[in-house]
Amino acid sequence: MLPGNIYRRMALTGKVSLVIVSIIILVASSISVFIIREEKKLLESELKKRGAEIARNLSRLSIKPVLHEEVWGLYGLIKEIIKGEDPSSENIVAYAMVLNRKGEVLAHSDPKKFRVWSPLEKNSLNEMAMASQGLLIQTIHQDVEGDQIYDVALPIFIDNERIGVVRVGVTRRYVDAALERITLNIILITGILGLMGVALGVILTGRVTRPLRKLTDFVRGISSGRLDRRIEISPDGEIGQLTSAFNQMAIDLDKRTREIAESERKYRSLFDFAEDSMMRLDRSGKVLAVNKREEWIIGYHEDELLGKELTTILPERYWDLFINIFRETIDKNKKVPTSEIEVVSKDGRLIPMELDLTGICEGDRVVSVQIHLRDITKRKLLEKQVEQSRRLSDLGEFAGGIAHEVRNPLARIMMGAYTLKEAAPDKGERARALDNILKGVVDLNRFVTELLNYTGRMELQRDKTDINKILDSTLFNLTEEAVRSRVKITLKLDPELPKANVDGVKMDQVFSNIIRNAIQAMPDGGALTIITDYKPCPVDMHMGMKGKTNGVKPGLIKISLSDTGSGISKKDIGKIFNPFFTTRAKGIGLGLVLVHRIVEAHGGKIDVESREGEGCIFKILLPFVPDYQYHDEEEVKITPKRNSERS
Amino acid sequence: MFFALIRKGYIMPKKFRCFIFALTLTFLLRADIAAQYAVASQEPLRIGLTAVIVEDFLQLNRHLLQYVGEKIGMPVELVLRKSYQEMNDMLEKGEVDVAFVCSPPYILGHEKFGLELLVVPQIDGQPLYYSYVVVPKDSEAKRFEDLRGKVYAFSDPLSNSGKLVPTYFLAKMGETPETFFKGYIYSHSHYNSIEAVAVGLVDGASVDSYVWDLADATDPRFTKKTKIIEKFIPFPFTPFVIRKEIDPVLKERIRGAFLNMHSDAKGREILSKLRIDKFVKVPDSFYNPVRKMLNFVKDSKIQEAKKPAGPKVGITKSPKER
Repeated sequence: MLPGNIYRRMALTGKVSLVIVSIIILVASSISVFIIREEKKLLESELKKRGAEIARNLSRLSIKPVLHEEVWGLYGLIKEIIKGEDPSSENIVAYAMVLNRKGEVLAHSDPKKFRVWSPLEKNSLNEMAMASQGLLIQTIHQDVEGDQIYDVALPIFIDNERIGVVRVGVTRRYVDAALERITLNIILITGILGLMGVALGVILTGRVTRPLRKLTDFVRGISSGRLDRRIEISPDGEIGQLTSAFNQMAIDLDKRTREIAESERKYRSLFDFAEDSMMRLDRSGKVLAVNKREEWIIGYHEDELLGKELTTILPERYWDLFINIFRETIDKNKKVPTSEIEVVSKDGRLIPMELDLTGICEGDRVVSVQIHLRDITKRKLLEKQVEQSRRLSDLGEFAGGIAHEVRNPLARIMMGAYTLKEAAPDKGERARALDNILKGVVDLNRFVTELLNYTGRMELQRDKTDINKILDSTLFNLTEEAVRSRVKITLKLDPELPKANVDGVKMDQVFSNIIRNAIQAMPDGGALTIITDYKPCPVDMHMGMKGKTNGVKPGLIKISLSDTGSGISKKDIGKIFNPFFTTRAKGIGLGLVLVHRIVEAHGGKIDVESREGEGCIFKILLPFVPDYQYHDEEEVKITPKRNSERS
Repeated sequence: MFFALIRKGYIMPKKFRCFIFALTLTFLLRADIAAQYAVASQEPLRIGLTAVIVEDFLQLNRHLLQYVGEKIGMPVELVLRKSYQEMNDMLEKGEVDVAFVCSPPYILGHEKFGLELLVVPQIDGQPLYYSYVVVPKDSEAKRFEDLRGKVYAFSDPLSNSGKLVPTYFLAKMGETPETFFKGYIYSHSHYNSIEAVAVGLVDGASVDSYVWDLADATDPRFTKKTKIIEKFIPFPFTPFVIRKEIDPVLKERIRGAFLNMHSDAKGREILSKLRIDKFVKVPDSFYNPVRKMLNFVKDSKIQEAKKPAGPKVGITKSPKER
């Protein structure tokens, strides 16, 4: 038999077929053992009977020839017996002989070996045969060909006188051959029955397994997500029940899956359009998911971050901090207080953000960590502005005080000096001293005025102004300085640049301050590149407004001014817009403060990027809002659309 | 008698059994009819043949006799018997008219009841034949004398070539078959003797040269397993004999039919199949050499009988001698 585990692993068809075949073989072999045994007995007894019959005939026919010693006649009889009655049937007679009363051969089927009148070899078989009083059947175990032989001996009597013995040897060869044939037939029939058994097994189990196979396919389909499929319900009992259970399961599963998908969608949209940037990290710190907000802020697409570590977007100085927080969250599921970090966007900007980590648990174990990054750029800016305003206001108050306190003495000094000059008309040394005093007073007064200018309220006189034209006139005024310093100026001005609503005089101050600084930063010559550009807003900002903007979308006017000068050190770059910060011996550190103030007063933004020794770039962004023309009749559909021009 | 015959039929080849039985029955009925009505004119000519020489070439002989019957214008009835002795007995009783018997039976019949010669077949130019001593092909015997102490086969007790000739030569050596051989059997046919030698039943046999040659030419199954080691001098051939009582006119008609056989096509065809040139008429004295042998053997047997009985007597007796 098969080892149990192989049997257990076999398909149902195999099992059933095996069982059927085993039963058939068992039954067939037990029946065949019985049949063969019975058949053997029957054939043996038949053979003995036939042997006895032949011996009886020979004995009857031999009486006279033996009496008369008619050897030729006896030989003829034996020849006939050996030849067989039916030439087509097998001759069972192995030998035949007629012996006289002395035991000498009168005739033998092998006359050459058993000569006439020669005695037979003395052995128990021959002696027993000679001594037999009636039919005697002895078994000779082997003849020359290896077959068993029954030796049938029958005495020849006449008038109760024993005149000789007839002996016939019948071979068992045909019995064995017949038994072999029967065995072969039984094996053949068993084989055929076995095959039929296998076929039956296949057919029977096919009826059971066909629906099962259908079910299996169905379940596989479900596994691979084809939940909408249903299986035909077969009418019969258990399979039918099973099928309908499976169908119900598929329906439920489909419903659940839809619910889950719906929930997932809801979650995803919450996740994506949440106010905060959100990411999910697995336990090893790899990114599992990134929401849309995050994508917008840092510029990376979700695909670019999946599987990466957060260090990709985190400046190195925050790594330790982040790892600590992450460990705390993941190992202890501890809520760590919000920390402020900076994130590097795809285009290399540093974005200040608030970092919050939340462990997502399955049971007690934290399986992933949700990261909330809140963009605090605005807040930072606000803080900075507040700080600056505060400082400026302090400075204003201070400057006002100084002006008040300084101007009165100055007026008096001026008055005094003036009077003294009037009173001493000579042009001598005294007069020169008085002139110096007056000049000093005027300088001092201008400084005070300038100080008040910087610190005082910014009044803008806005008008539709072409920024390109302002830049032109600014550069015109500074041509001499530029030529002197051998600075090459390149202009890439956007001719489509819309006219901005700005204070032209103030913007001229902005540009001249920056350009002058640039020229001064390149005392040995260099290149100054000025680029203007217009960027329409990525989101349609006139949403909800009625009217049209003549094709121009609101957006940002971008002015970038780059030089190849000495640049600003990393240390100083954050301070350049602070009042009184200057790197030059002659400067008072108020030029860029004024620039900053003017840009901010316009609702714009100014940034500086620099690498020490390679120059710096000032980037000014000015908001542009086009004039709306209203058409009352026209209903403008509120369709937020994503602008393809978004970069 | 009939049952004995039937029984004896069993020892004949199968194809003859029924035939012999039928013949025997016919003969029985016919004998009854003959006894009751004795209608001589309606009676056919009864020609007897013995197994000794004819049985295995029965068809050929039947053609011969039919031919003769046609020639003499009488129905011919074929009567077959196993031994010459039986045939002689029938001739004596008038149960057979014409018979093909060996020379010793003729001589004995001539002496006893005036049996007459009819014709003799002529083979190879002479009405003579030989007595062959035949042994198995692988036998070591080279001469007849080498067969001493062996088992021997004779054809018929009254056969010339199959019994008398070897007995004569043994008598000349001062031996009888009983003293010379371990034992002997009667096969009742030259053809059987050849078979007995071929299958190894006996170590040697005396066979009619005519039968051996005819068998060798037509059916060499057994002859090819045997070899001839002696050819005893030619003897007068087996004659057709006729009862003395037959009407002389009829006698001559029958003789004429035989003698003229070779002169017509049908007769020649039968003769050639039987390997006979023609039939010839010979005088009684033609058989004198056989008479001499018979007498010699008889004389020596008388002498033998006077001797004390040997140990082998009894084993080898033929049924008729018992």
